[in-house]
This record gives sequence, structure tokens and C-alpha cells, in this order.
Amino acid sequence: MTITATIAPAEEPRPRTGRPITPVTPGKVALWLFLATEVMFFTGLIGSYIVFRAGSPRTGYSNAYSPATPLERLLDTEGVLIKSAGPNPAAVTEALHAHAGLTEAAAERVLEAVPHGMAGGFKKTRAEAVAARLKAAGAEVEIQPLAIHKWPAPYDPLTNPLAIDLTAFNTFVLICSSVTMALALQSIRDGKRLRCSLFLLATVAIGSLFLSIQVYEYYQLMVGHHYPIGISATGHFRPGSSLFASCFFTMTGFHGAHVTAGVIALSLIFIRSLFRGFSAENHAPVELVGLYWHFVDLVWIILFTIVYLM
Amino acid sequence: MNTTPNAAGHDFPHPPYIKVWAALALFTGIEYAYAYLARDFFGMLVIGLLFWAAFKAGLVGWFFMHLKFEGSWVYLLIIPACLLATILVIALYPDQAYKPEEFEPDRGEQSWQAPGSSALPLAAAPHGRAQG
Amino acid sequence: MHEPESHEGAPGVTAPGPESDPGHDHIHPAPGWFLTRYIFASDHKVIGIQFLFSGLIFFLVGGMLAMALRWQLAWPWKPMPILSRLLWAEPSLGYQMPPEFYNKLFTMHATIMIFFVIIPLLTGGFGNFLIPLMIGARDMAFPKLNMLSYWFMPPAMVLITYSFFVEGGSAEAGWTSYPPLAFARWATPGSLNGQTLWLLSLLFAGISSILGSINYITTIVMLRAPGMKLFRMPMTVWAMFITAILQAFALPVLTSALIMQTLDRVAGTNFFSPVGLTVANAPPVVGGGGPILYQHLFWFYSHPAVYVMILPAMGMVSDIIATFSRKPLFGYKPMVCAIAGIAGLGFIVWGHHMFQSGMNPALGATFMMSTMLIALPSAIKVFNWLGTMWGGRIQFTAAMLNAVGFVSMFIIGGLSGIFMAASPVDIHIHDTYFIVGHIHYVLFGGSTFAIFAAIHYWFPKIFGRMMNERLGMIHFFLTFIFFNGTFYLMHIVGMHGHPRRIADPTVYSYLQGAGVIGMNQFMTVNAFLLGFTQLIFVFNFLYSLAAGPKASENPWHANTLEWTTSSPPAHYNFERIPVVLHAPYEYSVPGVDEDFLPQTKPFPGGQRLEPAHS
Repeated sequence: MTITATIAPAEEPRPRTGRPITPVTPGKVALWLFLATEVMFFTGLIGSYIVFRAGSPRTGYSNAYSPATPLERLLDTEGVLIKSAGPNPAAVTEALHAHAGLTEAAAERVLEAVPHGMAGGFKKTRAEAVAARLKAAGAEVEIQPLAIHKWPAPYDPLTNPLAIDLTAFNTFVLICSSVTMALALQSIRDGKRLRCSLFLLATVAIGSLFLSIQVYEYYQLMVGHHYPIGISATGHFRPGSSLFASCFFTMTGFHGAHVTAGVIALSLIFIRSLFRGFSAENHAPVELVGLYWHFVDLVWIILFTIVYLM
Repeated sequence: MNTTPNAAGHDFPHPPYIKVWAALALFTGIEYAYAYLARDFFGMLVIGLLFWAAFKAGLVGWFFMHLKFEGSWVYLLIIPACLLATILVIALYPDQAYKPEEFEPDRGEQSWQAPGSSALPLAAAPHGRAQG
Repeated sequence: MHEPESHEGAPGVTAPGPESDPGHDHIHPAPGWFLTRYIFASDHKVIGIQFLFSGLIFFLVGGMLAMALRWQLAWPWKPMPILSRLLWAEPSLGYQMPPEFYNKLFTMHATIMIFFVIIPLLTGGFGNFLIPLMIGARDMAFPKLNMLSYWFMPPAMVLITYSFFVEGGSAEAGWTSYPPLAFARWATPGSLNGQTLWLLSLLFAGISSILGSINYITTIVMLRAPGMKLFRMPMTVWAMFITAILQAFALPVLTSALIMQTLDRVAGTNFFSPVGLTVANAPPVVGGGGPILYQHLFWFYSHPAVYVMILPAMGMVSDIIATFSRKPLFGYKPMVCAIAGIAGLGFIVWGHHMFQSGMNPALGATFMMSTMLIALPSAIKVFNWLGTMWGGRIQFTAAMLNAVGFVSMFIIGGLSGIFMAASPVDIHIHDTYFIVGHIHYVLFGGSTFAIFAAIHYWFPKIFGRMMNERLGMIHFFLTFIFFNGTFYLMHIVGMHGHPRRIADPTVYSYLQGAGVIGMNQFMTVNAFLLGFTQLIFVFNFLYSLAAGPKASENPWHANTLEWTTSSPPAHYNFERIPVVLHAPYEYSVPGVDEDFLPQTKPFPGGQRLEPAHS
């Protein structure tokens, strides 16, 4: 019988200097495959964002009109920025209604967005007149020429509602959760079960903190805070407000959904770790969930950069 | 790198996670500061931020996701995915990003400020958008 | 794409579960409880059969939708038997099919046939059943994940079926679901609710496919039996492997596009709406997005999906043709490379569906060139099939007949595809019946004949009984004739300018000639006959299932591993994990008594046909 002769002889793996190779398991192959599918999924979302942004008309966003207003004939207009309503906001609202041609609801929206309340779209002489009336009503105002943007600029409160400081902190939070995850894996590989459980718990907690901050951010954007006309016609930043809003909520929302899934998976892993579910020899789920968790962190690093900072 | 054999006798690599974490935090700070300082220079902003983001993503992948310690098979999955992602975005570019401009400004963007009432060269520009 | 082979038996590699000690251990008995054995089963064979049955049931549904379509095209606005009485008896409708209903018919026919019949049958059904058996594994790498991937399908099926009954009826924006028609809620009745259900249904089906493909790839990479090198895998496994890669990398992009469209519909996002779009007096949206972007994202998956629907068919047909020609497959490695080439090119040709969309002309030329290149690997495959049959002792069983039918019809479908690939020609025939003819030659003439071939070929292994050969042959010949009668003329009316997706072609004066009307009626008659012919198949399938003669282990004298175990295979597939000694196509080996040599049998006298290093 020549069976043994015809089977491929076991070959030594090629020696790789200084680069220890960890074992290949079906779980790891499948998880990396899954991550590849996730890369393609986020490519669909992030790639669309990139080309939408690159293809946005140079008048897509402005300080004085709602997003996607056709501005071709309005380029010589000016806006009146209300920095402070002064002692008598009702008078300012009334002045806006009476002299700026805004409906009462629109005038109230402008006031709600103070210190970035923008009443937009006046010819030069009219803008001066409106400004004078508003000053008379006690408001602190400034006439701003129309500033057009291809895309909402970071740090521009008149077109971009995103809170960069908060999110930078949130990025730091997610990075922290990544390192606790890595330490959890290292602990169980060293056979330290308790340390592993504690680090898993820390990861769950920090991941939940990230989610909480994101929920708070969403709440502020969609309900809690009022934004000037350049951000949203309705005063709230919601998925339908502009293409920027659609991209923002879809990308960060699906990232948040991935974080949520990760937190749930980590919680299950944590519970299992309490019941001596893992050991130095047997800890594949910890490694696999960890891989997923780091991937989610990696996606956030990219999202933070291209959505918030650019 | 320290490869300390653990209780089970496996040689699991122990990368310096804490140092990587410190580096990530530091570079997040740098990125944040850079984005603030370069906020008015779009080209510099994009190039710089992409560099920092790629660097940070690389750190996460290389150490936290253990790319450093995996066999080459992982790259058979990552490289095609990244390649396809790039191809897709590049192919989306001509249609979505190079739409015909609605109007051709003959001045720089900064000079839109209050041009006076008479000079309105753009008012006569064709109205309405090119089909998208 | 080619996973490193060096991990076989390498010390740094933990071989998975049962295979670490091949043969003896871990033979689990089948679960005894009915629910876990047949319904929530994790056995790949049961899951494959589940996919097979659900696919065949939806095949009947999709076929009936097609016949309703054909009725309207041949005799516009004439009352249809049965259906008219049931649905349109109201005086205002007067037994006439409303044009919106026609739109629903072609939308749902295509959706069901593509996403609920052909893809699940090929990858879900045969992929599940055959991959572990053909590579000598006890089950998939992740049986539970496999179960999950099947159980993502029923919600999809329920949603797509339910969508017929909601207000406004089912989706009617075509299976491509282009915006703005698809997302503007008041654009058509079907855009009201049916479209949302359609989107959700496809999302479920997509998740099912992604999970399945991850499982297939992992299984094929990690669980091959000892000696089953990559280039000893049967073509079916190769095709399933590459198909799974296609799905894994392309499908997520469709998922993202479907999600964006869903959000456009339910959350008011602006991804695919132009600025200020308003439809049917609905309030305008902010907009700013790009309708063409959806087309790009959609076709980035759906062109590879075309290969998802044909590559497994090619793989199975390769095995069937080699078996019944009693000859080694001609050019095994070129065949593998051709499949990989088709798949690789498949990722960069999607724009040829969009020549007429207003796409940037620079892209059009690029996509035309890459599309033309696909003719190359496709031709390699066709010539290799012919080369396999050439000089063979061909046994014309029902399976073989269907496989030969596949090859010949695929040639026609492939050639008409070149017309589409050339953008100047495509301008003339875009959105005409020419493309309808083309896709049916590829997907019915191609994939469906391959499915018939595969069912006839593997029925004994799946169910342990033989199908009736005579009925199978009658079914094949009638199907072949009526298929050509139905679809061939579509090329001609298409060249004549007959647009697709239009309820009444006679509104155009140039389509009022007796020729076009006559051809439409001829096609419809053939379509009905084609439909009724399938009853023969249904009868043969069900009768053989219940009372066909018991099948032996290896009724076709084939070489691949699934024929070395019992029919149907036990729960654990193989009593001992087989040891693979050579490539799967050693038919009519000189010096061997029989004309086949299973992969587990050594060559006589230590003779080797393949070089030692391969």
C-alpha cells in the first residue's frame, strides 16, 4: 500500500525570523473573513460619504440658508447673526417677525439657536436695516456676508453641529476599551482567570460609556439643541436635514450598532468567564470577540477623522 | 518584544499593549490639535489627518489585532478587501464627484463678500442643476 | 485567493476537531429529536435539503408569475383565466390586469427567481450538501452558523410573500429597485409599503448568503480530508469556493446600498434623492444625493451575483460531464483558473449595466474593455467541456443531457452577452427584450439546466433513491424545445426595439406589426408549455422520492468522495474520514479494471499520474 507515500508529507513551516506565528483555527479564519465583509460594508457607507462630499456643489452649505438651497442668484445676500438676544428676547423675536419677513415660528427658531442665531438672505441695505431694528430691541448682532461651503466645515458653528471636543474624548474612551480587551486576552493566555474577567468587565463598562456618550450626542443633535439655519431648516440636526446629516447618522449609527453588538457579545463572554469558561488552553471566544472589538475601534478611528475633523 | 511562555507552554506573544495604548492616546491628541490648527487649510488638513488616522489604525491592527503575529493568510483576506474597497471608491468618483458645476465662478471663493449691488455676473448663470 | 497549502499537517497548526485523528473518533449519532433533526438542524445535508425544497417551491411561484407576464404580453388587457376572476372582477377593472400589477409581476418574478430560487438552490442547496461530502469532512466548520444562515431565509420569504398583500401591493420598481422610483413613497402603489418589505426581505436573504459564504470558505480551507490538496478538489468545490469569495466580498456593498435606500424611505435621509425632489405632490426632500450612486453600489454586487448564479452551475456541470464522458476533465487547472478569472473580472465590470444611465463616458469605455475580457475565461471553459466530451464514451443520462444543454445554451447566452458588453451596440438594445433573452439564456438555459442536471445526478445521494431516467429525458427534451421557443425570439423582438418592462408593447406603432405580435404570442404559448413541462419534473421528483428504486452507493461510477459513502450518507458522512490519493477525474485509467478510480483508491502498482510535487 502506497498510501503514506502519496499523502503530502508534513512540511515544516517556513522559518520566519523574529515573527512568531499564532495557530490558525477555523474560528479565526471565519472571523477575519467576517471582518473582510465588514470592510466592504463600511466601504459602501464611507465610500458613498467620500464621493458625496467630493461631489457636493460648492454652494451646498452656507451660513445663511438651509442646506442644498440653490444659491446661484443669492450670492450677494447677507445674514444677520444674533449673538445674544439681550434682556428682552420677545422683542427680538417680534422684530425679526416684523422687519425680517420671518414667520413667527421661523423667528423663534432663530432665537433658539442663539448665540448662533442666523437670520439670512437679505440684500445689503436690508440687512443693515434689520440689524438696526434688532439692536434697538436689545440684541447683540453682527452682519455676516454669505459664506458658502462645499461641505460643513469643522469648528464652524453656523454649518457644522458636531461637538468635536466631546467626540475626541469619546475616541479616547474607545481606545481605552481596546487596550483593556487586549489585556483581557493576554491575562487568559497567562492563565489568570480573575484578571481576564476584570478586564472584560472593564471593556464592557468602557464600551457602554462610549455608547452612552454617543446616545447623549445624538440626543443633543436631534432634540436637545437648536441649530442655525445653515445646519438645518428645522433647527434640529436629524437624518433628513441634509446630505451631511444623512451620512453622519448612517455611518456613526451603524458603527454604534456594531459597538452595541460588541458590548452584548462581551457581556456574554464576561459571564462565561465568571464560570471558569476559559483557560490558558481554551479561550478562542475571547480572542475572536477581541478581534471584532478592535476592528470596531479601528473603524471609529477612521470615522472620527473623516467625519468630525475634516 | 517579550514572548513569555505561559502556563500552558504556548508561546503567545505579549506585545507592549500599554505602550501602544499610550501611543494611540498621544496621537489622538496630536490629531485633535492638528485638526484645529489646520482647519482652514483643507489640503493640509486632509493629508495630515489621513496620515494620523492610518497610523493609528495601523497600530490597532498591528498590535491589538495581532497582525504582527499572524501568518500571511490573513493578508489574503485583508488585501483583496482593501483593494476592492479602493477600486469601488475610485470608480464611484467620476460619476458622483465630477458632476458638472452648476455655475462657473470667475473669482475666488473669498471674494463673494458683498460685491455691491450692481456687479452680479453670476445672476445670469444657468439656473438649476445638471442632472445628477 | 489560493490559501496556503503549507498548513496541512504543519506542527504550528491545530487541526480542527475530528480531523486531528482521522477516522475513529467523534462520530456523533444524528439528533433524535424531530425538531433538531429536520427543522432546526445543524447537519449540512438537512440544511441543503431545506434550501433545495424552499428553492423549488419558490421556483414554482416565480414560474407562475412569469406565465402571467407572458399572458399580458401576448394578449394585452385580455382577461386572464382564473386570475382575472379572482383579482380584477370589480367593474372598474373589468377583468383587466392593471399596468401596476404587470410591474409587480416582472419585479417579483426576477426577485424571486434570483434571490429565492437560483442563489439558494446553487449555493445554499448544493453548496451545503456537497461541500463537506466532496472534501471528506463530517460537517461544515460551523454547523450552528450554517443553521442560522438557513434560518435567515424564512423571514425573507415571509416578507416577500407578505408584500403582495399590503396596501399598494408588492414592490414594482424592478428587481434592480432604482431610485427615485423606488424610494419616493407615492411614486407607484408598490413604492408605498411593498418596497420597504422588499428591501428588508433582501437584507435578510443577503445576511443568509454572507453567513453561508463565510462558512463555506472556512470549511474548504480548513476541513479538507487528508490528501485533499487544493488541486485535488472537484470542480464543484472549486466553484463553490470561489462563489463564496464573490459573495463575501460583494454582498456587503449591496447590503449597505439597501440600507441606505431603506433609510431614505423610512428615516428621510437624502442618499439617493436629487435636490428638492418631489413626486406626486409629496413634500420635497432636501436631497443632494445621487441616484446613480445607487446603481453603482447595486451592480457592484449584482454583477458578481450573476456569477454567483453561474459559477456553481459550471462547477457541477464540469463534474457531471467528466463522469458521463468517462474521461478526465479536459484542462482541470485551466478550468480552475478560468473560474477564478471570471470571478476576479466579475468585480470590475459592473458598469456595463449602466451604459445608458448617464454614467461618465470614461467609465463606460473602461467597463466595456473589462467586460470583453470575460469572454476569454468563459471560452476556456466551453472549449474544455467540449474537449472533455470529445472522444469520450458518453452516457446520455438525464443528468448528462441537461449538462450538455447547459453548455450549448450557455454559449448562446454568452455570445449575446458580448452584444451588451459593447457600449455602442448596447445603446441600441439596452432595456429591450434582447437583454431579457440574454439573461434567460444564461440563467434559465445556463443555471437552471445545471440545476436540473445536478438534481438528476445527486438525487440518489441526497435521497437514496434513483430518479426515473425516461421521465427525466422527456422532461429535458420538452424543456429544451420550449425553452428555446420562449426565449430565442426575444432577441429578435429586442433588436426590433421591443422595450422590456412595459405592459402593452402595442402602444408603439412599430410594434403593432403582425410579426412582433405573432412572435409574442408564439413565445407565450411556448412559455406555458415550458411551465407545464415542469410538472413532469415535479412528478418525477416526488414519485422518485417516495417510490424510486433504491440507489446504490455509487450509481454513476463516479470518483468524487461523496460516492464513497452510503446513499443517503449517514449523519456523520463517513465512517472513517477518507484519505484522498489523487485528483477526482481519473476515469478510464489504463490498467484499472473498471473505468473509474475513486479518489480513495490507489493507482495500480504505485503508478502516479500527477507529478510528485503538485
